[in-house]
Amino acid sequence: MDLFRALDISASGLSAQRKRMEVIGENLANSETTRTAAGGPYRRKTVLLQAAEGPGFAAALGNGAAREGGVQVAGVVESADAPRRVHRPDHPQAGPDGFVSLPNVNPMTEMVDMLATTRAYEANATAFQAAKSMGIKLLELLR
Amino acid sequence: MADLTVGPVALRPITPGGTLRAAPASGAAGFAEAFSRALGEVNTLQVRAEESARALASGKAGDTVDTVVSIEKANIAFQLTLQIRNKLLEAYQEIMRMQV
Amino acid sequence: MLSRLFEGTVDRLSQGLAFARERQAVVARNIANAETPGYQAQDVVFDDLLASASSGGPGAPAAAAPSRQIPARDGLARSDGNDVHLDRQMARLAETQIYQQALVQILSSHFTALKQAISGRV
Repeated sequence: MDLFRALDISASGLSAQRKRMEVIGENLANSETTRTAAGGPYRRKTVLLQAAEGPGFAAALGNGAAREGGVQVAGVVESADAPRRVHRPDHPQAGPDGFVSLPNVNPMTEMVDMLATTRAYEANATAFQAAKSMGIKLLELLR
Repeated sequence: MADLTVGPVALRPITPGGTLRAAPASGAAGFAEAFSRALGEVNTLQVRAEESARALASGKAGDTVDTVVSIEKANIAFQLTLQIRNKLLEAYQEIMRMQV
Repeated sequence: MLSRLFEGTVDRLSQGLAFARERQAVVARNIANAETPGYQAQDVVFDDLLASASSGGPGAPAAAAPSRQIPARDGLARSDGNDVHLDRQMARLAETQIYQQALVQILSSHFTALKQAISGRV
């Protein structure tokens, strides 16, 4: 139903921001993880976002205004940035020079991202509610 | 923002006299024609409304605005023809009651 | 005879409703992509040409929504190319919702008035 299009779009936004929040949480939890299964310190992860095509893209009723969909998570990537080298000679993972490689996670950056993500999530929730009440309002004509 | 100018609602009272005046000199025959044309329109509107509602119910990518509006249009059109038929019936019965 | 009852007000109002639906979907898309790198915000405007082109007699199929998509241009893009300004989008969302509600109220009153005139009862 055409009314569901807007709901699906906003739902995709909510999902994407949820995923982002998860990844931010993971980054913060692992900000001091010096050894991972793959070897080496934890690397900061980010979510790749991409505008999505709508379901009925090819066979659309409208004149193109909202054939497209919402947003999709294209993937989660690890940062290629070099890890932080910190001088901590008594750290179990410290090298012979006394330096240890710590994750390239900056808690300040993660907090800023968390604020943006929260704001985006709330905006999507508002849009979802708006679409829902517009749909209900339209059906009042049949009452 | 779109400029939405809504004109005044143009309502015409429904009277048998009004419809009959529009009929040609042949009176009854001309009116019957006009009336059956109107019934045809009502039928078209109702068929369209039903089709839209069915498409919507089966989850096809329908146009909800169009469906809702065409359902109401069909309702109103039907009520109109029903009232016309009732008024005609009243008029006919009154004429039949007249002392010749 | 019957189409005269509806053309004008009813048809124009339902075109407005279709437009509102399209606009809301595009705003929703902008909001969903508020953090997507490189995304360009869009807006929807009422297309008078498309609106007058739709004939829509009683048996005619549903016309396309009378709207056209244009770039929103709310402001400068950020460093990742995304130019969605969330506060502007939230304002548009509210606008569209209020606009749609107004149209539904007006259309509803119009239908009620027609029914009252037909039945002779208020």
